[in-house]
Amino acid sequence: MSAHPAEALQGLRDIFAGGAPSDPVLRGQREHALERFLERGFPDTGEETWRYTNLRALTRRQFITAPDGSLGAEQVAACRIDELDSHTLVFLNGRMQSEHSDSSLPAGLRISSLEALDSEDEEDARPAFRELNTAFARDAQLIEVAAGTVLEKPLYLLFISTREEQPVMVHPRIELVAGSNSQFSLVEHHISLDLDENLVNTVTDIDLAAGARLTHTRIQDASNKSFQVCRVHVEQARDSHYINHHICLGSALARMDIDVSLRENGAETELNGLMLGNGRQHMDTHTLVDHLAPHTLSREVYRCILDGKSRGVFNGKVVVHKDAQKIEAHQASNNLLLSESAEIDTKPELEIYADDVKCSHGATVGQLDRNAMFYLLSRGIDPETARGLLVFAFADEVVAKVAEPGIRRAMEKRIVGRLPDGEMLREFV
Amino acid sequence: MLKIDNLQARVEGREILKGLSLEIGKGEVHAIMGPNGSGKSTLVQLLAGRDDYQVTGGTVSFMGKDLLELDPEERAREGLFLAFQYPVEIPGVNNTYLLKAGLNAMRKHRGETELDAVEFLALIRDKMKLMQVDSSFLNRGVNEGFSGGEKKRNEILQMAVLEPKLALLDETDSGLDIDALKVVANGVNSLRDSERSIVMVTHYQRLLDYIEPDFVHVLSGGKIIRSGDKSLALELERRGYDWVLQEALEEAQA
Repeated sequence: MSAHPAEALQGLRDIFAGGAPSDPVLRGQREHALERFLERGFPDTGEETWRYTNLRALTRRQFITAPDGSLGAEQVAACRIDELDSHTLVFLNGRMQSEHSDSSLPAGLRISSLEALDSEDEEDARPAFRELNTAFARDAQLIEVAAGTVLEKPLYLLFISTREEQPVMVHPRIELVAGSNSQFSLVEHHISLDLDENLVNTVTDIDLAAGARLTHTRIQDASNKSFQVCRVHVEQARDSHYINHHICLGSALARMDIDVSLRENGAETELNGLMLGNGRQHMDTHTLVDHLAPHTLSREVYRCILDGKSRGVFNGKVVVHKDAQKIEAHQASNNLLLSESAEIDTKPELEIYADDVKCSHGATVGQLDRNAMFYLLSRGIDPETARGLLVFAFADEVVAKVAEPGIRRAMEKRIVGRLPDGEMLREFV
Repeated sequence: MLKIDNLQARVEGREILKGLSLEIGKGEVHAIMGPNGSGKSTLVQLLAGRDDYQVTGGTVSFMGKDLLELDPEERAREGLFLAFQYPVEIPGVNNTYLLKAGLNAMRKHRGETELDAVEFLALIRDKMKLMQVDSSFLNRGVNEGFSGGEKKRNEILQMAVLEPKLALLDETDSGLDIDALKVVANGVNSLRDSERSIVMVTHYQRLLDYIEPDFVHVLSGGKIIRSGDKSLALELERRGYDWVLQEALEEAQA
């Protein structure tokens, strides 16, 4: 329970009344979620999983729901990754923009609007931001990939935020159901057109049937004054394969929660992340991998580069349940602090109830490698460029794992743009 | 070219160089040999500008400039090159970028125009042929996943591209099989000319069969204790170091 300005929470009730669906069942679900959220309010640092992430600034901000709006083609072009050949859906402050979105989709891919969200009969409390999303989500999307479908082009969801009279709260909601042996790539790109102070609170639910393979790339490149919260929940059946690449560049405060349940034998998951913080940015990633079945595998690589007074948090929890023998779980958290005032809290959490497992975890926090630095200087490269190259190289090891070359190149350019002395690196990258 | 006079240096409080003097003329090839821990690697790394060493006395002048006053990148731009004993792997920094950046930094320093990507590639292709380096090398990270031999060949490739005035080769021969050694030696020999000086630090006479030195020095206890021509290296190969150390000791006592 946390103390929040009563009027802020009351404000949520008023907003809800203005935009809820008319269907009584759907309305009931959402009202229920709102009430559950209001009972608890926003999480505070008294909760273990929020210990390092203080939401005070967020709770003080008065949000409105997105006003109607539209985007010009040039604005969309300025935001999108232009080298990416994709099926594209564009959203403005969470509202779907049909005129900028592809209407025809390939066989085997179906996208429809999702009406029923979380049902009311679930007893266990859901995470607060999920309840909030359920209460306010608009234009929620159900993405279905038919069994056996192999799609070459990724589905690209471009979420554009803009600055309005008051900060906007946006609750993107995606449910992806991938049929057995399907193969698919989803790209979520969150970006701001200007320096908005919005809250973007995304929920992505993913269900992978037996043998399904999904690559999920999430790029958060929003305004440095915005709040970005996301929760990705993945359920994996037998022999399915999930890869998540998370590149976190923007926001004043970002919180990512990725929960993966490896439910059946042979399911594999790979989580890669990069957090690049500067100024007073705060970036927090919590992962939870549940090994529920034997012969499942998880591999996590998270890197964090912090400059200025930025702060990073990484918490990687792995639970190996009693019958989940012969599993492998590996986790690495490597962090680079570029200034005295930057700070990282990194913590692995392993709960292992099986006895025949292979688990590893490692965390490093460091400055740049002196040997590498001297090597570059000895080749005539100036110290600023050498430093920039080494920081870039550290970041690029995560980006290099992304399969689509268009995304890789776009991200490399963005990262160079955000690094200290990045200008000097442009010609090398 | 290079004049070292009574150089003294320490690392972590321990004295490593104890009054070392050495003069390298233009176009000369010198070999520095000596037992382990004698200060050979310290000397060349210190000359390249590594800041782990504290110079406590003596002077070093390079092309008439006070070398010790220059930062490592300035030394490189003035034409000093160190081939590392253990070249560093830098994943994510592309070999091509490193070489192009280094070369252009030097060209800029010399007041020459910088090379664009096309000009640079034309230049490096020839040098790669010389060093028998595969074209996939261009897209790999600096020394990333290279074998020991590939790393050493890459060092000499960098030397061929950067065309230094003075090259310091720090145990470039160690760990190489005979074929790799020939490639490396061939590369170094092709870079020998009347304007370029080379200093080789090595344990083994073997390298000197392929790169013939004009002078051979024995470094021991932080000093040059004996200098001669290439016949000195052969003698060391035959008799080991003990007799030189013994003679030096006797001279000191006398």
